[in-house]
Amino acid sequence: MRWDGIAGRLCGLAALLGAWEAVSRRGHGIAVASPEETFAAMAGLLAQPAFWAGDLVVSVRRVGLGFLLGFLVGGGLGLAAGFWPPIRAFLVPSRWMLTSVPGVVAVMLGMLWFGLGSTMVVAIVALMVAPAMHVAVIEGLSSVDGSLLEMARAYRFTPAMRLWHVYAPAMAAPLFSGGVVALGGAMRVAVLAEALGSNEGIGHALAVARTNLDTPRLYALALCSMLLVGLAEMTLLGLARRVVGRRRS
Amino acid sequence: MTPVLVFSGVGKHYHGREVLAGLDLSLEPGEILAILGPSGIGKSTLLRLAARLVRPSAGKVTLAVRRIGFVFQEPRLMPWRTALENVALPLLAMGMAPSEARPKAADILARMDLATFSQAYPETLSGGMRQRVSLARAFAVDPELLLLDEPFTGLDPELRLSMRRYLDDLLAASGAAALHVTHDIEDIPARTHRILTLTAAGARFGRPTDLDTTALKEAL
Repeated sequence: MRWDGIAGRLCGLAALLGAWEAVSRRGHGIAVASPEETFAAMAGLLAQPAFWAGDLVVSVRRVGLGFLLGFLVGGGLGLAAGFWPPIRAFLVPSRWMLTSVPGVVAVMLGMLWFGLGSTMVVAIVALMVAPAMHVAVIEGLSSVDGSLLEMARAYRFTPAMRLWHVYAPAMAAPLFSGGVVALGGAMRVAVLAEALGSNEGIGHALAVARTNLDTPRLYALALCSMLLVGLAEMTLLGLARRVVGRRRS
Repeated sequence: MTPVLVFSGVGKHYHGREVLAGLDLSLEPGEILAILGPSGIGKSTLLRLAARLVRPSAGKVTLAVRRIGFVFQEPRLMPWRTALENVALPLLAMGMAPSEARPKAADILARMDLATFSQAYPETLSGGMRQRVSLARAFAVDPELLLLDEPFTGLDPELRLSMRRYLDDLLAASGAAALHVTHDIEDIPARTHRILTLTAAGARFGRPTDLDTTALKEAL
């Protein structure tokens, strides 16, 4: 059996569940829900149409929209910065500010600027995703093979052909890895923003569960958000393997 | 006949270092000009100037044709495209429809004895095969001007010999004018009309029959 593959991961998962179970038995029920209680609460949540429509779908939509917006803005500015060094230099302070601001501070400011609700959550997710995509695009552009670009110029490739056949495949790997990291961060900041300033979404449901001291539900919601990120990462990584697999091999 | 390519007093310097100076050159349609010279003398720069990949620092380059094939020292194939796609892409860049470009690319690959490898990715091909694909790409565009930048560098003697044969056959069939840069006299194509020798002392044109190979080998 190979321990560096699925078997190793299953062992790691079993160890986590075992530790969780042990801590829940020794601790207080309000602080730590057991795995059994958590999974039961999760099954209950997933059976409720109101949870799907009012929390899960709302959060997914907000994260998706914010991610798309951040991808477009950050990626667009990354392209400009990659091709024109003065723009790259000009954007360094903004990028530094956005990457170093703590999530909770961004949420507080977002609440002041956009009020409570979806616009605030989407805007904060976009602001958190944009610098990551900006950096990924610059890194991708710098990894483009200059000799291939020269070949493309020698054969008079059109700008669209250069973008599609030379730039895009070279940029795919850094873009996907940057996207996966940004997506995890986007979900975390979205849940935080919803917990502090929204009346729907997984983050809001978490805040309600905490207020009601409904620990199993709180744990189930946390697990839900983690599973969502995992699912999105798996989808992105699967896509990345298909797109860049040939190049890496 | 209008020359395919004319260099009038062309000079090029990079960061203050002069690579070429005052070069005059005229290439007639179908003419094959071999360019010999030691490393760093500006042979590759001359080809880049001809392909308009770089601008001259002095003088003027007049290119009278549109279809150019360029074979670099390394194959420069896109690793994420098959051999067929690599050969077909320049045809698409010329505005040819994919339905025409693919059969044309397949045909030229077959002429290079690569028919069974047309769907292979570059990483699965040997060095010699990759350079043959690169040669096929250059001839696929029906070049009016072919630029060859030491295309046999890094190949073993047997492969060099076979590549020379492919090149000679394709050059004979295409009728393209060619600039063939090399630092190995043995690589000069059989049908070469003139030889340009670039040395620190300057540029000198000659006929292959006038070539003093012993003196040249010493100069290189």
